Amino acid sequence: VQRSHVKTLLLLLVTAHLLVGLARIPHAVFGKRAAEAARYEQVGRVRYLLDTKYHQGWQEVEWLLQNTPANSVILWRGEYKGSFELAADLVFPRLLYEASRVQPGITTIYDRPVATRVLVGLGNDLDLVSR
Amino acid sequence: LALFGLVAHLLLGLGGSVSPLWLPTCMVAGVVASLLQQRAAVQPGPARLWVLGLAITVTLLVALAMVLDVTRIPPHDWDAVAAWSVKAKHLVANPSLSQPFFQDPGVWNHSRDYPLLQPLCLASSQALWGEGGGRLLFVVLYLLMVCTVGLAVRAAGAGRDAACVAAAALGLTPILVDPTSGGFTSGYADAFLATAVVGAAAGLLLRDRWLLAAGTILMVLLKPEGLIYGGLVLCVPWLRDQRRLLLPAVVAFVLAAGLWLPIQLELQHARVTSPGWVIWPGLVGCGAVMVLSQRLVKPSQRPAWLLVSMMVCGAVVFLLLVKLLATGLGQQQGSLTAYFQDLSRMFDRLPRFPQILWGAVSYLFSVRKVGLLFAVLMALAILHKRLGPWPSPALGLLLILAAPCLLMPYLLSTEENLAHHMRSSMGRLLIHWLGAGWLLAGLGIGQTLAQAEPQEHPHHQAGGEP
Repeated sequence: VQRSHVKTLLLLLVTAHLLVGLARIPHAVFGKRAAEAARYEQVGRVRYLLDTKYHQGWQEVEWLLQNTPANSVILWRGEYKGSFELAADLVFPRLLYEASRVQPGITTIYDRPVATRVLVGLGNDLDLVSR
Repeated sequence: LALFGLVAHLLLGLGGSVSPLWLPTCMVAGVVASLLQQRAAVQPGPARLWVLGLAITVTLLVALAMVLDVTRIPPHDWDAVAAWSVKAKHLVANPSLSQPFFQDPGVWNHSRDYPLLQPLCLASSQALWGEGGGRLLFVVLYLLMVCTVGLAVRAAGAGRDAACVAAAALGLTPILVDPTSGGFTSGYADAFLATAVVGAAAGLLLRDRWLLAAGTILMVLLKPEGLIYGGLVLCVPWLRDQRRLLLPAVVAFVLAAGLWLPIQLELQHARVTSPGWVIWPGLVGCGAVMVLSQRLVKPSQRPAWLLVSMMVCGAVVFLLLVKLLATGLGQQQGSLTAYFQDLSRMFDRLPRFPQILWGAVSYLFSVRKVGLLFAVLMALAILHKRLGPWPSPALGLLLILAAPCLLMPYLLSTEENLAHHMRSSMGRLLIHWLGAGWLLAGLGIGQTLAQAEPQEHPHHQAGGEP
């Protein structure tokens, strides 16, 4: 292999990388972002994350947001993997507290009111049950 | 950013709160310190105007897309929501660990053991500049990484054309700039960690102690695997007999790990049986052994077989040390613990090694993920004898040492669905090394261009370590 061929190969690879990157800018860098942002704004954060082919639970989170004060503590139990993993962010500034660690009749934790319903992780879905 | 990390973790460790003003204060201090630092003059010749213009245009174009994104909507990829942004939200409201979210094991806190530097940076910038304005941090990190690669390639004498090409090539890498898991605007800490790796790699390339120390500190404070990467970075000056670099890197690693690990234990307090202070003697002892052993053994003067034996022994000791950190202090959960709890799992997984290796190779050469970086590096590795001397042994060694980091998680993982595990995480593991890869590729491109047009770059026939 001639030295000039080596250089040509290297420069071709770099040029191809740059061309692929440039070609992707309109669609992948701008287009996909704009589409995602539009959908996010249309359906809202909760439905964007928890009304998908793989994960559900948006109704339960919306119920908690509408029916519990912002400083409340929400008890939870069940499977933590799946939809529940996103709940702490979605219900912020409310706190999620492990139900098995508290007395059954408790009404406040850290001077925060405890929500009347318990959030249950069901893997790829969520449920709300009475305490 | 590294200084902010140290200050913030010192304050958190002392039970205090981190005022958001520390972030701009530390950044100004960093800029002033870098201006005061004397650097060797580099005259690599002018860049072609169209190359410079192309590099600046594409970088700014991508940055503009990111600005439009982060100021419009918050990060919405899985780990960003589950593990990263929620911590930042709590730290905006109260920039200390003295709150139930961090202190009470009953309160749900995903990945309690994850380092806090990114949430701290995001919380501080959001407290100062608002929610959307604060998220511009991700765009600043993108520009920082791209510029560091370009400036480091130029400072290494590889030529301004090569510097522009390397910077633009990194700045166009699909997995970094797409709105996908691990990309700069995804809200994950992987791109920030990649920026830290670039800092450390540039420090090794330019023999710049401050850059190396800053990169090492950032790695440890950004992600659990950053602790392992920091250890790998220390191995490079150790193996290459670079005492001037080893000591500051060791000091940086010990400082960062010494500040972070006790906090990590505190965050996992309900599951930990040993107090955090036991970390310090261990870290200082390991650091001292590393520095002293280099002085006694002098790797460059030993035969290859002894060096290889030492590297194998070092790798075993390193694995055992990480296992000790991950499980020996009583943790029952945590990301490192999950991998290192049972090292024998590695042997059970060996029959699946070909599947893991094939998965890694297919990611390395996936144009839709990383472009053609590894094709360029492979061409450089195969053909370097025809191009001239290897442009940077230190960077080459760092990337070789990093290779097991792509494979080990899948040998040690508890996840049975290996294909799913690799699909969801291998791209992100690869992100960490993309900047370092383009640094090395940039030097190779510089060599090629210098040989192609010697009359235009009479002072620099080949880029490389100064």
